[in-house]
Amino acid sequence: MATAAAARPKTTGPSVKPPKRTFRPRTLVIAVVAWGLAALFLAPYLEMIITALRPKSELRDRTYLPSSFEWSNFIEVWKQSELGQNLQVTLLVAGGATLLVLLVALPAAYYTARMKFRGRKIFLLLVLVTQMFQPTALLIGLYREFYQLGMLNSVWTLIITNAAFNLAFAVWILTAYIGSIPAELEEAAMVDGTSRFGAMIKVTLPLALPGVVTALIFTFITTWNEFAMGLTLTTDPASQPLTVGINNFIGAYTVQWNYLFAASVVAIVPVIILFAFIERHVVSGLTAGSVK
Amino acid sequence: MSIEKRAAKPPNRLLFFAAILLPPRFTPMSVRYDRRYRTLDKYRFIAGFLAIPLAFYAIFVISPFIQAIYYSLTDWSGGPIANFVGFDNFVKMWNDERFWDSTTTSLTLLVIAPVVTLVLGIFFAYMITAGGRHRKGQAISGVAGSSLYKVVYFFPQVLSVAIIAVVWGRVFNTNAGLINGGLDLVGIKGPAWLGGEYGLALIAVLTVICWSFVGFYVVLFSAAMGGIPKDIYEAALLDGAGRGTTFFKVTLPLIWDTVRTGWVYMGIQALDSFAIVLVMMPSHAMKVTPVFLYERFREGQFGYATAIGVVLLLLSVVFSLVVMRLGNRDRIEY
Repeated sequence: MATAAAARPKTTGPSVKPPKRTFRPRTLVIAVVAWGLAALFLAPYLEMIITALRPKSELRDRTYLPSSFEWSNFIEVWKQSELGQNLQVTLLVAGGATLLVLLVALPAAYYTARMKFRGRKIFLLLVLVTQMFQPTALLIGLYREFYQLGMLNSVWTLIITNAAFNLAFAVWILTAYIGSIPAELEEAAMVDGTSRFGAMIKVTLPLALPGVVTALIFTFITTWNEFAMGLTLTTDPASQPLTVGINNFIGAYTVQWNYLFAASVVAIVPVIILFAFIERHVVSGLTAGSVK
Repeated sequence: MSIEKRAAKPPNRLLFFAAILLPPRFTPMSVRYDRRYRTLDKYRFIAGFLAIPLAFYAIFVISPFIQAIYYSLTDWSGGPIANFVGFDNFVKMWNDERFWDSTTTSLTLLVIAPVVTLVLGIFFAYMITAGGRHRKGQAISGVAGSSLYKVVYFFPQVLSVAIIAVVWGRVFNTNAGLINGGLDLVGIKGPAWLGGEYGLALIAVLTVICWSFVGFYVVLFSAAMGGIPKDIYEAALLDGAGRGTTFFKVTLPLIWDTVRTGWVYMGIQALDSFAIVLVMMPSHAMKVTPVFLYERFREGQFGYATAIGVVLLLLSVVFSLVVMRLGNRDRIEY
């Protein structure tokens, strides 16, 4: 014991009571409750996967585990519905909207971060306020716009609207991120003979890459998951995004649970993969915009 | 020749306009230092960088909003004709019992959901950042595996609301649901959660809203709590404050700004719980205002539906103002 205490670094600051590793029932209770809550939070995912693999005959059973896993549910749902089409629409929309947000938000954020122009505060405020509009309240106005343009059911409609709704968040995050990169680096590059644009591309952009990637993946995930606009602005089942297509398995009286959940699993796999990439940046991304 | 002299002589007008149109590197020296050119150049840069996003906002966010206000005053039903009818839609709404039913539900959610979600979020965040045992002479430390908890709680945030509603629809299912299955094990016959009884449906929807949003606040609040300097905790500990006192006297006041912002955001989310209610209850056993709006929209009563949208928006603005005012405390700098 004495050697262990001696080995401990002495510079631990103002020392509070040294911990005694005694067993306390309270610790155990807290641990059990914490794990229990976490399990409660995870239960719906488990339910989703299990139901997706349940044979048709056991759908109404109360047993937690089915007698066998029916992997063919995934093939069946693919064949029987427009899932392939819906997946294609969602991929196009999410990819297109992300690209559009990149092209539009990056210059805007760069400019807002670097230049102290008149109306900068108002611009950032506008960005925040539009975040607070509920899409539901705007839906009919949007519907009207695209109805007049004859663009209902078009992939472009969803790309543009999703991009417009995600722009605010992307500009906000990117402004904070680019703002944290010292402008001196760019100035140095410009002294060395690069143009402002060149400095932005060659110096700032590589440094801001983690922020850019986070903003883009966030946009992609949000667009991938978008429901209300997809529901309103498309009427034809084949041109609906995945989230709306899934909803079609729910009839007024019967629900094809196994297909519904198989389709849901297909829909969340890309999200899980992408989220794994940005998970570490989420915290900094969420708090980057806060000005203290 | 000095710069001042060059600037004093107004440049050739033709050269001036050519310089505006050409890329900056072709700008002749005589124009480059002209004050008017400098001003214009600045705004040209702004125009190039900010015009597109602003146009996007104008066309797809601001314009639908203004159109919504206009069409809420018409009897537009989807066709080319929209007659101006004044406040008829709002009068109709006032006399529509279904509107009041759905709005009562929405307002209930607006009041309860943020409180429950934020309290849970703050609790979890506090446990994660300060719930661990005192060790290595640190005044506070998080529980073991705190990042894992964060991911678990946050994950619903990246799922589509449609899928969340679908999954929970199954969990709350009367016959095959997880919850009634669990109740069965202890010998209670589970009720029809989503089958029409108002209180049960409300509990179900509240559960789902909390489940899907609490993680966002755990992450947000633990970031805010992480920003509090450790020596404040140490001082509190030296003065003999326990965990509870530390929380109420130190942590909560210091993150109050974040809590208030979160409260506003959560209220708006609760008011807009469209997809959750629509998908979870296909039989429309319980309605919230957005679902009522959507039904009118599907019926083709576009003018009426827009008016409901405008009311919904006003409600969220009023809510934000009330919370900002009620939650206004002196800001503590640290």
